[in-house]
Amino acid sequence: MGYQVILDIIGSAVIGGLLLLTLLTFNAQNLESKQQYRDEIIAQKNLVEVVNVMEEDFRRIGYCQIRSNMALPVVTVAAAESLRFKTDLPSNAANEGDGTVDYVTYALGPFVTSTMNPRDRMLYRRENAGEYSGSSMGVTNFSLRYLKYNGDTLAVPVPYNKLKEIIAVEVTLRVESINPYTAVGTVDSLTTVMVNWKQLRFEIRNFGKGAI
Amino acid sequence: MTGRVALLLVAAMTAAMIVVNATMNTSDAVDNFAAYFNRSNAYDIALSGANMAGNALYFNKTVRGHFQNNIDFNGGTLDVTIQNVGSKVQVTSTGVFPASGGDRQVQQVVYYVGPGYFDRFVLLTDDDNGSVPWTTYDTAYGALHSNNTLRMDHYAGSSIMPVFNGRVTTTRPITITPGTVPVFTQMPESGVSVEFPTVFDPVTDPPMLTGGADFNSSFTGGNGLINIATKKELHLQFFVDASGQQMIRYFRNGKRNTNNGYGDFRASDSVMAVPSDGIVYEPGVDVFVEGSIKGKVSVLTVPDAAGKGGNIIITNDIVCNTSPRANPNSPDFIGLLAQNNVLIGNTMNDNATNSGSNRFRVEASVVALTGGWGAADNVSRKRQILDVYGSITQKYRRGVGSGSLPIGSSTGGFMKGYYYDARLYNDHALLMPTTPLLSLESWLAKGVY
Repeated sequence: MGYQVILDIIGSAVIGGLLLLTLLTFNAQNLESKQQYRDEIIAQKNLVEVVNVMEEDFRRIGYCQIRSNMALPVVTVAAAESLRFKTDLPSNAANEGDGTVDYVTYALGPFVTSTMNPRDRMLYRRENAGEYSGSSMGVTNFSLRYLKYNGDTLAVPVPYNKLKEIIAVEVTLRVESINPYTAVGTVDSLTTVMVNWKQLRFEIRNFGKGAI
Repeated sequence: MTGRVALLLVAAMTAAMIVVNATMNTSDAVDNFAAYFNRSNAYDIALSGANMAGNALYFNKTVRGHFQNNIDFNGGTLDVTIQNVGSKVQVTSTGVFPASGGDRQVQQVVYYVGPGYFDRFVLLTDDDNGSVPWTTYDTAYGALHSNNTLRMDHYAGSSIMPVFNGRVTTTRPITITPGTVPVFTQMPESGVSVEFPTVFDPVTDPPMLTGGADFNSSFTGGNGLINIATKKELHLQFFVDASGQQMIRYFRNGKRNTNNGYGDFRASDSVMAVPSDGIVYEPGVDVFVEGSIKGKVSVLTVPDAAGKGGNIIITNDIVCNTSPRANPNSPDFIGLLAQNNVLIGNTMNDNATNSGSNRFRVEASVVALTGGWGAADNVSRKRQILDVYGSITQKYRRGVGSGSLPIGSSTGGFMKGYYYDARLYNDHALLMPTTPLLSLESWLAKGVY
């Protein structure tokens, strides 16, 4: 083995090492991208699931299959992060309710300690006087605004004597990934994927009796 | 050579896996939001169909059937049916998006419309020409409408302005006396017209009480609206007896004591039960009413062929047996329905039953079809608050008080305290006239899975 051969081996090792480092970096970035994609998908799916349930509920505010059973106010608690409203929950295949007034409560609960995201909180939904069913889907913001007939916002919590003035509810929801990842090039800072959803307003249509 | 091929194979596989992996992730995210997008579009299509049906019913309330039959609409399909369900009309609008292909979403809007009622205003006036103002201490809680104008005023030197807590609409602009700043919780709107009832539903009941002689009544002061010579008068005092049955104490002809005015009922007066259908119908008579009512009872009077009668005169508090103010589920509904006027009469004593409270209470749905709501004497009676909890529908605006005297003064008539009874959104007094247009009863939007 000549001197030249030894130089070739060393050169190859250096070039090979560089290639290996490049591959490792590429792999790390690829993993991060994949994690980000996955977190995005999970956050999006969580958001869409929460929104689906919420939309079904909020579009039924004030609805009752037997109209005369429903009386104002239809929103009975209106706070910044919680509300309670009257509705008629689905009870049959036609999904039209049974004519009995039900109460549904939505409320943002405490921080979830079992996830790595320090900001996510429980979002509770409660039917009548039943148990609070919580969802730990990475909800970090659930804020509510209550609108009057002319678009003005009512101050929260809305006092009881003003509840009947609510004609629309505006919901803002933010969902983050519950398991943040450490981005390439950082040591201890955690990055989360964030998805926002804002429904401009749920108009309460079962309100008064305007001529069509 | 073999090693080189193996290397190429590994490189190609790795590249392929990276591409496939990335595509899968992206595809999942797109699918997820595509479903939501499709659902939102389907809902918008259903909503459009619901509005189209509403528009059709506005112009022709007899439209029924398959109004839109699975038509292509904005990339999806729309199906709308209109059918009778009991006494109501049901509109079902179904939106599907996309029209074909995978992940189709179906959303439905179902709403019911039915006859509307005129009792949806705390005060509905067909012709308010502004001669009677809203002034200091006057308050109205609930929707208020005039098919003409409204005039706003205040007592000279007072900072207390009339208050309107609810939607205020007029056909012509509101007239405001300079220096007056009325309090509106909602911005008033002009240019709005509301159809006014023209007739009561036909009544098949016979007159509850007949007979009695014509009597020449006269009032002093104020509106003097019922100073029509020689007509029949019937005086009714409603009360609930010890067994819980709704009874009426009554006498005919004119007031008994000229000095003290009306409402002079005595234990010796005749007593009868309220008709089982709750309708007290007295044509050709001026009916004087007061007392407490349980259940649904309406008093209806129309003039005779000679134009006599057809007024209702309230001689004392007339209230629900179960107060709707304290109990929103109260089953008691009072209707005071007059072809001519509904007036506060001159009572035995100016304090009515609420002696000392300076309030005269009326918990009823009032209709004065061709006349108005007012006080027979709006000048010389004691200054009090006319505390109405219900709904008033009147052809013409009448006065209930005058001057700027404080509450409790020996003269001056009434200040207005009108409060809408929210129960009337859902239930109504007997014989309450219905609107020509259909009215929304309930609205449901739902997913179909």
